[in-house]
Amino acid sequence: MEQFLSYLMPGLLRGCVYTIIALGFIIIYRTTSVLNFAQGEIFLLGAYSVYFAVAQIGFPVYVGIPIAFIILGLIGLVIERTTLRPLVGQPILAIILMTLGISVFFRGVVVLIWSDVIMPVPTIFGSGGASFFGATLPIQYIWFAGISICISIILYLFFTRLSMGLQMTAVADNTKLAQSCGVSVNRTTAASWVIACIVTGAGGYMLCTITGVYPLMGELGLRSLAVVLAGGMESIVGAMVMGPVVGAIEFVLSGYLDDYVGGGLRDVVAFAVLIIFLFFRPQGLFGWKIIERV
Amino acid sequence: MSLQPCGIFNSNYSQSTAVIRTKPQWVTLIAFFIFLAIYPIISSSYTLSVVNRVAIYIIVIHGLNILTGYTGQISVAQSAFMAIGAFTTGILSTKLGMNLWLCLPFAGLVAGLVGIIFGIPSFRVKGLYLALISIGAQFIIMYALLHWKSLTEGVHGISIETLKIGHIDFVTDKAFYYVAVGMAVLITYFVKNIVRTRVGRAFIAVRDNDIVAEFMGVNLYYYKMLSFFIGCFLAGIGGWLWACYIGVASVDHYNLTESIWFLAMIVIGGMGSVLGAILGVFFVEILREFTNILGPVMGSAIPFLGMTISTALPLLSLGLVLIVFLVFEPRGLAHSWEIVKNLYRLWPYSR
Repeated sequence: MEQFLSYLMPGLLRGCVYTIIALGFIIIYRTTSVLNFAQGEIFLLGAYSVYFAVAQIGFPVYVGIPIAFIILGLIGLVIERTTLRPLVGQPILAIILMTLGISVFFRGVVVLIWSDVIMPVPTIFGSGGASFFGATLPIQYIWFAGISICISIILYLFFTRLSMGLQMTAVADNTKLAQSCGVSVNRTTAASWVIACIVTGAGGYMLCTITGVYPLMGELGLRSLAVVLAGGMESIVGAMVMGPVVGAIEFVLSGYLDDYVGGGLRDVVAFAVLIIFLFFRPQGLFGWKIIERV
Repeated sequence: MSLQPCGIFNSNYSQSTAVIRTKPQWVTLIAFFIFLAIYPIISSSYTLSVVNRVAIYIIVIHGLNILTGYTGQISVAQSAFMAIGAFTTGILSTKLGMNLWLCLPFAGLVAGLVGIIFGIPSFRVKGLYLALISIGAQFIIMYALLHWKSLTEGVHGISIETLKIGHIDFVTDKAFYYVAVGMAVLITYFVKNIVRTRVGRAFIAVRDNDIVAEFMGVNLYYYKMLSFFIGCFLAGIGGWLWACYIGVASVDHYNLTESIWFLAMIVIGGMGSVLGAILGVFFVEILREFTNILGPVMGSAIPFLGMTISTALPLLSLGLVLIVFLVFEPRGLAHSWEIVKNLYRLWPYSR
């Protein structure tokens, strides 16, 4: 039991970071029905831009982090304006390929500027451990959980209470109708990209304070696709619930089975969850069930 | 549908379905085959190695083109299916001691069957969701190949003996050229014809509007599975060739980025066009070769950039080319070529 908890707890808490990254996917998908495969690289840029602002330029940490997130927001704006707006009305295939192209491009940028060695990211979360039901956890994980819950609640309120969030939902539901009711589609789309990039970048920054940042971390961003899908592509609540669940599944399974399969199971469990959900419940647990004949 | 050359009129059905219609086209084709046959004699071994790679990729890309370009089922896992072909070859030839040539159909079949397994969800989902499945497939397949050590030797990979018929060894670039290019030509012929027949038209119908296609009597499930099978089968054949070419089946070549390169090839060439697949492979391979050469040169010439440019440059150029083509020429090089062809056929009345 103790062993089980020692696998479960870090998984649950680390899963909170998956929630944040998944929220980035969801914000963009809700508004523009684009699933952004470049999310992994935006996740990376989050960590790298903090590293850039704090360790390379030399801002104090608490100034550097907001600056880094402003940079990220601008990147989101540029991506939307230059690459995805020309593709409005194109088939879904073109849009998927475009986000894949963006992801590869940004991986190139990251490798070019920061090379591919592991870099430590300046942290604000302190270190040390906290005892929790008999399992010792790094103090950062507790921070992650707290921040992730805060961000989720703020976004939930944003999408259900604020005018801008409601406009985004309207655009997602029926673009033409929203436009004829006076919602500026361009503005909501741009806003959703900016918010998504900042949220994802925050997730990237948090996780990379533990592991350090290197280009292959980007694949971790893709892992939270499982969270997006299991929770439902449009559902913030779904991401809140499924993030920790997927994290826990990863840690528990890899904790028990790694010895038998030769390690590294943690890297693929999320994808297995993804495929299982696609086989049996494509709309996820909390998603909007849209009936579409295939 | 491009225009016929000036003064050519079809007077019966077989003329109108012919791929090669006029005498000059026959002459060009035969001249092209003669050129292909004598090419290894006149070229340097470096360009020959590039051409061999292009020939192997053409086979893989034909598969992806049938799956994604013609049937509209997005796959981001083509390189993983290539890996399955390569490892099947390795396992059968070393563990069971099978002749390499005998492994060829098995490499294709195993890859095709695994492709069908990952294609099953296409009964329920399409578009975006299918792309997600294939990303999952890419990671899971590569994980299995890396960690199933008793079968695949893990990171070391399985070394494969040289390909031979009797006493003829296909170990040099020059000899392997005939295997690779020969198969590329055969498979191009096969694919060109498959997309012109009932099967190909069914694929296109599924891509363009699956509900209407089913209404018209196209068995959706059958044709989707067939498309997954053919697409992954050709990837497996490509994997067999690649494993025989480099002499080892190992995991380090078949990653997600490679799959994105493959998708870039069909986008740049033009989706849903056999000629486009070939043009795309040529364009992207030459670009990749160019960046591989240019990267270190730039790194040493411009110290500010550092040596990381040699890893970054291929990625940057791939991303940029993909973005530029999707924004400015989404129908790819094949479409541009069609425009040029119509221009000179109508000359001097075209402008």
